[in-house]
Amino acid sequence: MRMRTKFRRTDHLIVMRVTRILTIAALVLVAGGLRTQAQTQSTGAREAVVTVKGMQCPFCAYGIKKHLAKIPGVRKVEVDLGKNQAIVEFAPDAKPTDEQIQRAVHDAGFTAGKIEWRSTPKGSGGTGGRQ
Amino acid sequence: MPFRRIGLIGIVLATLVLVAVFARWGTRWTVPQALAATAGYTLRTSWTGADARGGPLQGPIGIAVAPSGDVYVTDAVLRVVQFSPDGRVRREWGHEGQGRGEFSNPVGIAVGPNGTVYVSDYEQDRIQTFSPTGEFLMEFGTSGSGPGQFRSPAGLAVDRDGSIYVADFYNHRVQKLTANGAFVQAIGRAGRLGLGALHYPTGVALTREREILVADAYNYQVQWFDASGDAIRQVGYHLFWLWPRPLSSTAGFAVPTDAGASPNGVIHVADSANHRVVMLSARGAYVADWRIPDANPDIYSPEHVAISPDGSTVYATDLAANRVLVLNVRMPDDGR
Repeated sequence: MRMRTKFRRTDHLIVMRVTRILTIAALVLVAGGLRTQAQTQSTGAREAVVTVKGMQCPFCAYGIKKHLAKIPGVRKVEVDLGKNQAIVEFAPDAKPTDEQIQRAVHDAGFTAGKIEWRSTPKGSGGTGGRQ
Repeated sequence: MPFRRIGLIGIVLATLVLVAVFARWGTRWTVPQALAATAGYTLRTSWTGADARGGPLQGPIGIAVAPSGDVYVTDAVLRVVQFSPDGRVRREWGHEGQGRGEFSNPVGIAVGPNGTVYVSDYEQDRIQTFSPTGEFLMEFGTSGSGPGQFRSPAGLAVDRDGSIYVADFYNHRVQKLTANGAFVQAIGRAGRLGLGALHYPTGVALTREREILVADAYNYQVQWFDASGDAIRQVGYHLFWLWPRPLSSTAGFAVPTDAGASPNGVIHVADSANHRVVMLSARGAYVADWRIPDANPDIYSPEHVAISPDGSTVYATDLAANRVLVLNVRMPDDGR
């Protein structure tokens, strides 16, 4: 009976220590995560990576860029002919939809494929130029 | 029931054949082998503009040759780069913006007989003109589909009297304007079938007979219009827009994005999806072609072509490789 009580006290101490270590580890992880998030999303902007199949002709790619740039809230558009991709960056307060992007690509004579949304990494601001 | 279905299929097929015949669904090239044997291109060199102050060429697209022999190129740095005939950069001008001498996407370029430089802005739907040394002169054009308005002006040409021709990409037409930018007439109509139908034209040029050559890119053909704007000839296997695929060397074009005429009448075509330059006789017969040996298969190039005043050199923009290709031309024996 005594043995059991002693064992229980030791067990309680171990549980306390493990809990403390886990709490500290969790706090460190959360703090680190928050800092990383602050670094990657500090612009508050979002961007859409749009796949446009068959975008190999520069005249067409520039047409797609022009039409995408007319969507309200667009800050920058880049087209990558080799990858068949258009990257559309929106202002933080913009509320773009997939439908707006699909319509713009359609108006340019193409069909939008997969649209992937992601936050704009800090320091990704454009320097202008035709891409 | 099966007989009715077979009959229906027969009617559809017969209709397609009739349409193909009577709607003049393009023409196959004639291939005079004797001419092709002597004529052709050899790559002399390529220019990257490495000595330009704003850095080497990036995504060059528009190209034009001045009467002096100087070569003007537009590129993705949003500028015009002027080269001497031996490939040295003389000067460059332009940067991003909406003002005078500023660009969002300079695509087409042409040089008039007096050396005036014309630059189309694909994004701003306007055309700016400059002195041979880059001083801003004037601008014209707005966005839209009305007379004198553009929806992505691409290739340009200037006649000996100063008339300006603009390949109006999204309006599926070519516009003729006076030297001051006033609308004269629309050439061609939006469409896929028959002479005069245009689908996303990207280039325009003038022949020595003052015919208007149009690179009708997405009808897979080059079309000729007379000086009054009436369509007179089409070359390229037009049927293939129904089934686009890379075409063999003498079967036709795949997205021809520009054409230019030599002083001796020979025509050079930027056959962009085939990654080659094609030489045609003045009436459109195939003569020879030259392929970019290290072409990037994922990007259509060359985009535009320009010809030296004596016709001995063809310059072609290779956007995919950030360079200008300089080709020596071996003329056909009979000089056509």
